[in-house]
Amino acid sequence: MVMTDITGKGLQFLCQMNPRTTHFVLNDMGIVGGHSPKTQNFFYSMLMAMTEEGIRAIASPDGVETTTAGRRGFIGCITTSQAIDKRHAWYKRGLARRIVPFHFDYSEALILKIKAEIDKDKAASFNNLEIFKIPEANIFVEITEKFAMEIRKIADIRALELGQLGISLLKNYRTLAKGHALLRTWKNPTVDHSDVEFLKRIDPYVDWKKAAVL
Amino acid sequence: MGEVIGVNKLREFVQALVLTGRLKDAPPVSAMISAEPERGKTSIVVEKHVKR
Repeated sequence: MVMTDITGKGLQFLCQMNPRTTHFVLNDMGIVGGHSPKTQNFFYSMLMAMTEEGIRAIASPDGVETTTAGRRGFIGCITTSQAIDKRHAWYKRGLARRIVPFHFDYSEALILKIKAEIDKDKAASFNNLEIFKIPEANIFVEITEKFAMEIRKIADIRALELGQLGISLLKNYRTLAKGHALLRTWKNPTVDHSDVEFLKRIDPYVDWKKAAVL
Repeated sequence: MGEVIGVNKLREFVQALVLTGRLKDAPPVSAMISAEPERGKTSIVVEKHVKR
């Protein structure tokens, strides 16, 4: 579900209303930054609750509202400078540890290629009518010891770079590898070499400070 | 209209990310897509409709 703006209360409401939604997308985190500090704090607190333990029961003057669907994912889009500004606050809250950054930039060659496409009136199109199918039911994905060790190595090196213990990052990398395995098959999926290669491809982008070139 | 070029790694990342929401034994992974303006980060994230 894609959102232009959201508050902490809105996040609670969405979790209640959409039990099957896996991720909430906020396509411009700058808009959240436009709210008062109080509203922002409440939003980030709810975001942490939603991604870590899941929003459960909320007691308010209106009564107790419960949500049964558990933890949800979040995808935010933010400019590099805003991410750098927010990074320390997110680290303090523990939010930076829970969220995987994907920090990228265009190469000079890619910028020229995009401009050449525009020159030819073939500007990049994002066909938002395209369908991305996801399974109805949750699926178990196995990771064998061999691939678990490979993922551990990639995550440990990245955690060192990020100055983290690496526990959350290891969990996130393992989960991403499993998610990638579902791109291949939904029938008895197992993490294989191609999922580890995927992690190696995206690993340079997992950095709050430094962008890697696409 | 032309094909979106150079964003395959980001697209693959977002697709794997969305599918983490359908795993039996792990909570969904959350992410922050970060780049300077004009890099198409929003466009990639919203380019497809999810269907079950």
